[in-house]
Amino acid sequence: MMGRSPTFLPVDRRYAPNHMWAMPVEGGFRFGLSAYAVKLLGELRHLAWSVETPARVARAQRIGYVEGSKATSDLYAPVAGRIERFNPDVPADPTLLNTHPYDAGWLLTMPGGDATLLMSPEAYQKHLEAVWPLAQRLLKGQAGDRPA
Amino acid sequence: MTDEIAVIVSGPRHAGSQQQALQQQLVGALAGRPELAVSLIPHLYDLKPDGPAVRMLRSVAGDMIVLGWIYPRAAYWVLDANRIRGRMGRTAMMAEEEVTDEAPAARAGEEATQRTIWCLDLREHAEAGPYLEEIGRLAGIELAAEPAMSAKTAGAPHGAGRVQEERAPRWYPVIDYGRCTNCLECLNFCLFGVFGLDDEGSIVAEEPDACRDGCPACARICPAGAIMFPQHTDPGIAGDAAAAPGDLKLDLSQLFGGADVAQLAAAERDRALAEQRRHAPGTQEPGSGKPSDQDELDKLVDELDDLDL
Repeated sequence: MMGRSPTFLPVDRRYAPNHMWAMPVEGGFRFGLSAYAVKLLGELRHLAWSVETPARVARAQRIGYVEGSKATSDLYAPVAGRIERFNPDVPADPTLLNTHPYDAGWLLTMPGGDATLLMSPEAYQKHLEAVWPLAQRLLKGQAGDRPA
Repeated sequence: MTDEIAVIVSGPRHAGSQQQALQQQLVGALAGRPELAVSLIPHLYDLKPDGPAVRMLRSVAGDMIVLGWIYPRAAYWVLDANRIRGRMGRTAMMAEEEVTDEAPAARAGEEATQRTIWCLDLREHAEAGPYLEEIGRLAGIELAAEPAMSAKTAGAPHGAGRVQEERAPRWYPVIDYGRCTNCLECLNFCLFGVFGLDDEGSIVAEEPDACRDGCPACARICPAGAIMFPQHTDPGIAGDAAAAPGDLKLDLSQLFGGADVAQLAAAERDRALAEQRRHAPGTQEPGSGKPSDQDELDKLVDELDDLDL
């Protein structure tokens, strides 16, 4: 389906369209990046936030930047709300996302927040399948545009 | 070396507690040493042209060590843009390829300078130790991490000058004249009139603050990788000498931006449309006649469109 190795999707949480998982915690959600996203980035080298907590954010507002051995990306707020806390361990050691994307490598917490966009694991699986052919073409198209 | 060395400590654009602590530790250990003349200035890249900090820096005649929160290569050429010039000093923290042993060529109307400027990036280490070791090595003195005097007060400690300015974040291209070949692609490309020519016909960022905030397009079009935007998130664009020009990674922002399937499809379709236009028979090419330049240009026009000007 998506490359050769299957992606293990924990079923104890929900997922956002931007490939973040959302784990309900007391009074809100804790977010991190799904293994799918981490795999595309490769070995994580650098992660930095561009907002300071507490930060009121709109959905898809740019909140940071991540760089891995294979790719870079801006990071965006998964839902509208207030980011209360960033995981202090991650900027110092971004490889936590490679080794523990679903627990120790969590990224941020939002008390409350608009949960209507969050998908069940099954819905996210379908989203991945729907998005993958397009994602592939985008990625390959980008690679083809680069100078040799 | 009997002349004192100027040590310029420039603050970060946004001072978090870790950065403040590092800075205070450094200034505490450096200030008061007779071999060093320590000055605190705001964020190097944001300095006002001809402002008090730049004027102070220009008044320094001898060797200079500059500590900042941007890549050393970016810092060196920001200084150069402000007519603060010297031989690029080799530090233990630099990649070998970055440093040329030649002194920079004299500019018209100025004497060639023989002094050396060393730049250090304060983002590389969280502790003061490695920086004090390097500064000690350059100055030929022993520096301990224990402060020579207390640096606990928030203001400049006794023994360090401070130059303050009203701070405003800036965004403008910084030219690395070690790489620049004066091809003038940036001048032709920029839509905002940032670039111009000096009296000798060399490219300069003539109107730096005309630059559109966040736009790094000229850095991508420069064939020599000679343009830097020190605040850009991509290290290659921000001035990391280790990132070779053309060595740019995939950018997954479109995937991670929460775009839904319809948006991704539209983006994919637009890209394909552009591809089709490029290869359609009868497509006119601009003067250069080189296909690869045209592809780069289309890609950059797409990027400009995405910026939503």
